[in-house]
Amino acid sequence: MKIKLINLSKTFISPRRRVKAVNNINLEIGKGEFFVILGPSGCGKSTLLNLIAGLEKPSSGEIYFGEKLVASKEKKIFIPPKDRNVAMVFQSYALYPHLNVFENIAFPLRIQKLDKHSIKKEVEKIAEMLEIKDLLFARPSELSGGQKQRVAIARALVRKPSVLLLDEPLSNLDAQLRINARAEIKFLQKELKITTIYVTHDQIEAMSLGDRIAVMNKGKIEQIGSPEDLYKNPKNLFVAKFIGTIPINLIETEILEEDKKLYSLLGDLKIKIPDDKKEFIKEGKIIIGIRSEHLKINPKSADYNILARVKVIEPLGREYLIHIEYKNYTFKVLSLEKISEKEIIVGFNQQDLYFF
Amino acid sequence: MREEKFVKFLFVITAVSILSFCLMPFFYMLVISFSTSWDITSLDKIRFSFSNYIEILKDPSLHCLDYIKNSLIISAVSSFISVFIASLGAYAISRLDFPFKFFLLLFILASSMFPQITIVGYLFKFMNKLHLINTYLALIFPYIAWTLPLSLWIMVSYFSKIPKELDKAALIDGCNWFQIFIKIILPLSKPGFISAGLLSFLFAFNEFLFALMLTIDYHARTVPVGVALFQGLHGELPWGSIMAFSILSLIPVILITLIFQRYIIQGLTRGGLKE
Repeated sequence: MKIKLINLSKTFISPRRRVKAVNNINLEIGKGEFFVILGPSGCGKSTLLNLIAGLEKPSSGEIYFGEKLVASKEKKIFIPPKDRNVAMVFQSYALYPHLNVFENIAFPLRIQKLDKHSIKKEVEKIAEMLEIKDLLFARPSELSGGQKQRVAIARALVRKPSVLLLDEPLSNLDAQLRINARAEIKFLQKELKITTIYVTHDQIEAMSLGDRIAVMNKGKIEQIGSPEDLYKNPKNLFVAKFIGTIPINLIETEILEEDKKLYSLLGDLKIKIPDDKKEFIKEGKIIIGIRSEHLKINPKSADYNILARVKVIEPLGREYLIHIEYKNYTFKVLSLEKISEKEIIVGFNQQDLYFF
Repeated sequence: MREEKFVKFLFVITAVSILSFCLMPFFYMLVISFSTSWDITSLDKIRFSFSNYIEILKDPSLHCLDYIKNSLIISAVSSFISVFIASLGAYAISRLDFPFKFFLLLFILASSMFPQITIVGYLFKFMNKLHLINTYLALIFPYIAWTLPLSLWIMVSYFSKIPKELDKAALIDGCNWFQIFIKIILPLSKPGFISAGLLSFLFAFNEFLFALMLTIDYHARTVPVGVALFQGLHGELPWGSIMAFSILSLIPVILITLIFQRYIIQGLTRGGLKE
């Protein structure tokens, strides 16, 4: 199902303060899309998910499921979660402790008053799919974290929801399990073609899962795009910093004007500022960014070259992360080869630079 | 090591003395009820016999079984209703956001701290006007009111221990608020229900003042009043019969407590969530 958010806001009011958790968000999520909402904790991403689920009422704005308006403050429309056909997986899994696995998965079907026979059939089918058939009569307290998570997903999928909402479902799993679970969720989603909204603070998870990602900060969406798009064309400093396993190199530089052209000064290196980036200049300064894989050691040809001192070398397995220092600026360089020199020449090209 | 032993010794001594101190009257009661004489200071006179029990059960004019029946019905009904109302209130208090919630709870608690004697006169007039004197309802209503604050506090503490994410999950799974209450909250707070129910039951079973004022005879009179007004035909105090009656009326209470305390187990909510 297609989901559309129009000018959606949610303000929490307590006697002491008002918090605008979700601030005027416009968003369209396509049918069958795997959409990830990424942001630091407290950015409002869980609130946004709760609004879509119907666990919170919007302070203003509208939510459409397909052509149907499901929530609007102005038009006084609010359709409760049970009539939205959404399913949700929580960070804590939220399994019902007094019910065994079978009853946990069957719970939504029992509420729908499905007959016994079909309930058994559906539960067994989904249990088979998630490989938890031999756990059906265990209590949640007897399950491991990974098993609980599967049960929670099974409970969400059993009644064939039109929208699947996942609220940091992997953050309680250990690292090894998380990578497997990630792939499985992606596989299931592609198999069942359910419109999925996945909330996470982990950019690796977001990059590996999402068809599209919305980066959220302080209740607002900073940028929406495919993982590649966000990585290659970050719109602003926040997105650039947030995306990427190895943080982007960011350097604040002074501006130099020469022959009506603007340059950013990196030591005595003059870096051309393209005309369309001039708007980023603030108080005579601009921030330039470059990803560590775009810094080349001893390049054959590069637009700019610097002679830098090697500070630390971190082996990452396949690659090495080399910390270098150049005129009080430090950079991280990703290199396939280990180097032994104390000083190296590092080059980079104009096209790989970001200006903020 | 020696210190540890000494502490253990002290612990045992204290426990035994407190226990014997508490159980002494009970023991006295038990001995007298099975004896033909009530003078415990001259032990040589004490002879084992069932005569007291036979006497009180055989004599219909003593109404012992009526009193026990009245007590059980009144206590059971009032504790059940009290816990039922309290759980609805506690659900609202633990799940809804409204200002001055804590003050409301304190106010409810404070209202239960008035001495009973302050309202008993008014209560008598009130029940008299309603023509309820000497009926079960005359006692059931005040008992519900008197035990509600305690039940409410117990239920609130149990309900607030249940994670709100379970409510959310149930809401998403298609429940309405009432279904969440019935299918999730109630089963998870069984121990709370049982402890609140037991305490209200025991309060109602032991209560004396209201029962004395609001009942007249065996139609509604409860055990504590029955025991207190137990007199022989000629005004003498038949201690043996009184003790036998007390022991008899204790049996259902002890049974109920023993049966239900098994269910008061902790940690029922453990395992559904990952903390």
